[in-house]
Amino acid sequence: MWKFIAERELRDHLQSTRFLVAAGVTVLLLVTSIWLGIAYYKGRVAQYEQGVQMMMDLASQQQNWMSVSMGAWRKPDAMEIFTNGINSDIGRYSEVGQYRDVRLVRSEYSDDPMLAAFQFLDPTFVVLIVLSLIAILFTYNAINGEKESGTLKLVFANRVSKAEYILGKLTGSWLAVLAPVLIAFLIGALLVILSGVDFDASHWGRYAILIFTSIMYATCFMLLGVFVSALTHRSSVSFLVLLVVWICAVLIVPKAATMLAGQAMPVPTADEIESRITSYSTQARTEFFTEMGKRARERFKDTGTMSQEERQKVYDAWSKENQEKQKENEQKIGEYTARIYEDYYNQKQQQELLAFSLAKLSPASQYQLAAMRLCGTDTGLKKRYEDAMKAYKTQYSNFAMQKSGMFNIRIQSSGRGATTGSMTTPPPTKIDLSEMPKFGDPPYGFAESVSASLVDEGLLALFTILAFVGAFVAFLRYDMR
Amino acid sequence: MLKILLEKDLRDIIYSTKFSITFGAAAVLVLLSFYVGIRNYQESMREFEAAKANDAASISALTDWRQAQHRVFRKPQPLQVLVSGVTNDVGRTTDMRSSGELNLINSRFSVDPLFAVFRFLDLNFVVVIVFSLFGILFGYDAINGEKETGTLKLVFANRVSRAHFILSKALGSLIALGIPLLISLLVGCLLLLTFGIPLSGEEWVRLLLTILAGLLCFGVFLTLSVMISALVARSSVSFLLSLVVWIFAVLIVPKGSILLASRIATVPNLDQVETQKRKFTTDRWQRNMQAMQQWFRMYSMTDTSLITRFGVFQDSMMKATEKERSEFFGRLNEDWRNKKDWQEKWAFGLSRLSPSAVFQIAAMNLAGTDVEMKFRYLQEVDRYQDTYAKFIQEKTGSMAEYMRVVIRRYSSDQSQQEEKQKPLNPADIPEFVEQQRPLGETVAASLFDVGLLAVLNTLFFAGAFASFLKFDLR
Repeated sequence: MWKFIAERELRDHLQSTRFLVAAGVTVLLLVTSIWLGIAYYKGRVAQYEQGVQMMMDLASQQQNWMSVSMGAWRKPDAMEIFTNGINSDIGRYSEVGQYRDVRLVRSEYSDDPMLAAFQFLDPTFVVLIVLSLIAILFTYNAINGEKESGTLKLVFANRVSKAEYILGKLTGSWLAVLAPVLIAFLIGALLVILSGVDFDASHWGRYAILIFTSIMYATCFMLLGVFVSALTHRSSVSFLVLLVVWICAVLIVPKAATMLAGQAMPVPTADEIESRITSYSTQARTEFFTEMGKRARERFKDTGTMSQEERQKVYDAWSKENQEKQKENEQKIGEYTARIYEDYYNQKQQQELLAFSLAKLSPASQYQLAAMRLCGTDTGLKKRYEDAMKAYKTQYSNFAMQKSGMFNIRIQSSGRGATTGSMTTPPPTKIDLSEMPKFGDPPYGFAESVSASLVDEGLLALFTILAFVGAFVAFLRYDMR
Repeated sequence: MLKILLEKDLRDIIYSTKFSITFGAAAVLVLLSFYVGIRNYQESMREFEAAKANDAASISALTDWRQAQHRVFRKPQPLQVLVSGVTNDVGRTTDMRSSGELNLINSRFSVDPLFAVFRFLDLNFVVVIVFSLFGILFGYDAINGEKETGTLKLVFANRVSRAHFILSKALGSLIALGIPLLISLLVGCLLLLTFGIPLSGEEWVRLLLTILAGLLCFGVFLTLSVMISALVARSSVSFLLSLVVWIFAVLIVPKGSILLASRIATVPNLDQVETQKRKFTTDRWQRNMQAMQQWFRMYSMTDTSLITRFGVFQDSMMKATEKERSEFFGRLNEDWRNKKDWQEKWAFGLSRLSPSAVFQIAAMNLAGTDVEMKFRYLQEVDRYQDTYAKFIQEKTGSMAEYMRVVIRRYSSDQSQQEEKQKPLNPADIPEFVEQQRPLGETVAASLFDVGLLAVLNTLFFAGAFASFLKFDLR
């Protein structure tokens, strides 16, 4: 029997203008957004490759390693087509070198504020805002609308159980809403293949899970619609109630949650952290140079009477000592910096945990967070790249220190007012970039992304089940008259 | 007659459940956006003050101005938190140097991506998404809804002219909905006052203009959907049509026009410019090193004046390099800006097809958070750089003097006393004060868009009027 009801429901929907418009909008928006995403992604890949190429070209033109300035670029990933997340807000590049702290700069939005003005239209946004609205539009009068038009009484004049009826009804509407979504995502997949975007098995797997999650999210709102429709007797009331629920879930709860967490758990600002590190390192380096001067006076005390050769020996020993001390000093600064940052990140993580826990009261945030994590454009993206870049910095500066040789200005007074000056620079060498350690992007594949999004998916599933139970029970107790 | 009709429409709207619920939601959102804005402003102000204090503290721990790494910070503006525009994606911190190109770093969202995930609930968002939906919700069945319930025939059984009817319908909705919205917006302004947010007279003017533009934006969507309602016989169809229009106006047109503009007017990406700059810097560095080597070869053995002369040589070299650099970089930047300007004209021109984009452009201009914000601010810090360079020059003298100090410190025992130098006084540094954009300029920049919104209101109203005259009452 429920099959029959489902068929009737589906037929009803398919013949309605509402279905035509909703399906058209869904397909059009999702396909457009995927197409836009591909276009932007390709632009980013081109820019990334060009950036790396230009950096390498410039490096290979140098005459010695000391004048090479190296950096690391954040590589675009094809999953950002579907969820842009914070991808455009955080920097794409960081300088890498011994005296440079890793800092991601030149975000897409800061390079081009024009893009920040209206932001991107990604499929996740379409699902989050538009699909949930459509889901409500399809179900707000599922029960009370039938009552208003009198068909509900007619149906139950036949021998139909309430359970069968509601199941059939849900299945029919579900198919009507989600068929266009599935079609749009399949067209999206086709676009991805045709555009020749670099998409591997892990990407396809994540895409499939994203589609599944999107469908679950839409289902959640549909069931919520049926639930409210079975609780109220007039469809105009249920529509308004649902609209308020939608505004709260999609617009208010997520934004309010982050704001509340920001106020409940203040974290020191980046400027504060950076200035703490700067003052520490400036002081440490100043001390080092003062000590160096002292050591120089100590070591060269008796050189006045020495022969040229002996003096050179003393000088060499002194500069070797200096190099070691400097290395020690830099290590000390590095350790201090790492400690400060670790503390800072722990605090931020706490804040984020609170914010997201509060936000997850809304299925919209559950969906958004799950999608971002699946696509690797979540808040962790910044930390993952910064960590990888910090590791690379150590590697690269060790390499560069070995290669770069010494740059020195020596000014000596040799008694009786005469002064000699000389400058030594490292000899020109051929820059062979293949010797250099390469920057490796942090791994974020199928396993990482799926395990990161698991909690949100689970919560969303739980909400969906609760909405289903609610709709089911509310209808069983619904007053048909 | 008009008066009676108007009264009826006002009553109809105000006594409906639809009105109380939607108006409640909109009012809550407006107030929330003001409240969030206020808290945000207070928070950013606190961060700004802390950053300045930190900067001063780290400078006062030093004894030599040469080591000072002074930073300047972008001061939060109250209007920027109400219409955030691009403000959270533009860097707030600048490492001040007396030479070299300045950069903006540590934008709010790059430092705290947490806030970028869901973004902020600002007034702009509420107007663009909620006000427009609100307008459609009340306009879509204004005419054909009355036909469906049969009241339309009843009304015209009396001696009512069509013109009066449509006029009262449109005016009634505008008044019944516009005034409550205006009140909630004004209560929001009152919140600003009670929380003691410092707004200058000019800023009040800008805020009130923004509110006016917001109401006009609401009006456009309302009159547009009334027009649709007069064109289509069934309210369910007109609702769907209005919704499609809304989706296009709010979601597709603005974002699509940006993409389209970047296809029409291509601009080389900034990385190319940056690489050219970096190449220039490394080239000059290499050249200077060679020049220094040559210099030492020429003056390999002389008297004590060597040090001073080397310092003078370095001074002139650095000065020449900086001059060359600023000319070269300036040319590159200007070139790029010109191309970008052209692209932005296309993008915003196209996006003006959507009324909500028109509002957003006007609001961003009024709040000073439009796309030009980054460049205006960069000009400000560049201007300050000159002042700062002069100050550092005064404090530290030239390289030649410095070399003498260093040599003395390393070669004699006097240095023991010299090491106990006085700490620096950060209050000596000239303060960085960002100049506000003059009111005339901001208003002029937004006048076109506010005017456009007003024109659209009239246009759609005229459309509604004309189509209702032809509306089939049966």
